[in-house]
Amino acid sequence: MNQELENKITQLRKGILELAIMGFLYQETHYGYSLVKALAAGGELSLKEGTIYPILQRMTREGMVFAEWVESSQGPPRKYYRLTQLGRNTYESLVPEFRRLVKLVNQPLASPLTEEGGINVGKKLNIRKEGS
Amino acid sequence: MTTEQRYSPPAQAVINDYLDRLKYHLAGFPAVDCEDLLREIAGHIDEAFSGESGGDEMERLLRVLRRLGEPADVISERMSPAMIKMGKRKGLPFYILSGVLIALFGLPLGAGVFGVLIGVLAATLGLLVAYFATALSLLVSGAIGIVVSVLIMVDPTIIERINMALGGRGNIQLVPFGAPLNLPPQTDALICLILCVILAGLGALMLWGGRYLLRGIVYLFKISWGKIKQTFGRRRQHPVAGWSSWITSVCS
Repeated sequence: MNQELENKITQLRKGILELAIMGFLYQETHYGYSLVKALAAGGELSLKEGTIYPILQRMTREGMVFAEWVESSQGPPRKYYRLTQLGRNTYESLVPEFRRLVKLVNQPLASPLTEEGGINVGKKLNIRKEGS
Repeated sequence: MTTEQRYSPPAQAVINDYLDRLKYHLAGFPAVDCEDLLREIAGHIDEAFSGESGGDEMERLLRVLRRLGEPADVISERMSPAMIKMGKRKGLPFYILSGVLIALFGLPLGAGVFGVLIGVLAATLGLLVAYFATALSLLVSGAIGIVVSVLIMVDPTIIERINMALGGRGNIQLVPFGAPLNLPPQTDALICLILCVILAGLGALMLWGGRYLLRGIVYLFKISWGKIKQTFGRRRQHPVAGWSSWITSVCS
């Protein structure tokens, strides 16, 4: 895979991962590992698990997320995260935008393919040729 | 059971090495953030290891660390895309050279701009102080003049009596506005009163208008600050912004 494509995929994943994190925190509070497990439950987590921690830190800095350390009976203290009101509002604004985006991406993929296997975009050109 | 007791010495050494490398990559970030991140990652390793089955201790631990990601990859999320890109580029000497050139020529220029900004700020502050000092002095002197004029109108000899009360040392005198016309002291005081009312009114008007001046200056500073933030914000493109720009590029 070339570097340019790899960068695009990383960028795409990062943005969507952030939205997914907000989605889980919208439902309930999580600590890092529980969030990783929740994210992985939906399918294979293609990003490295550790990358969610800096994302959570940044979201905390931006005021999207509130974090606090809580003592745990099962081991070391855990840092729990929950969405702030700003985070909830942002998430509610981003979700419809994301749905529109998914629809936009799916639109050309839903078009029937030509006999040659390509996407059916040449037909219009043929019609123009016949008309001219 | 503590983390130290849970693992065998070799496994503990691997964890310590991982955390040390993480710490190394975190150099330059705020100490509190680093400490928090290290604690969280250590807890993550602990918990993931507990839930890991199959294979010996070292195999399980390495699987956990592999899923967690290399410290550099974990930290890359905190770096701006430009920094990551720069680190990946092979032409690093070129960037070092650019850095040296910026340090040699760019910083003095930057310092000059900074100096101009400080100057503008100081001048604006001085203007504000002078404006309000003038307004206040007009208001106070006008008010004193009104009081004195009213007193003279009530008792034209009050100035002489005050001078006498001061044992002849007092030398308070009012400018006789009506002297060329030989006007009586009451009429003179009335002219003085009118002028003092205008003076005090002007001061009050300046003070009242000062809030608009303040608002205007605050507005100007806000615009300038917004521009500065916007300029530096572009360099710190974070995932949400990246995602938004990606949407924009797809939609356009």
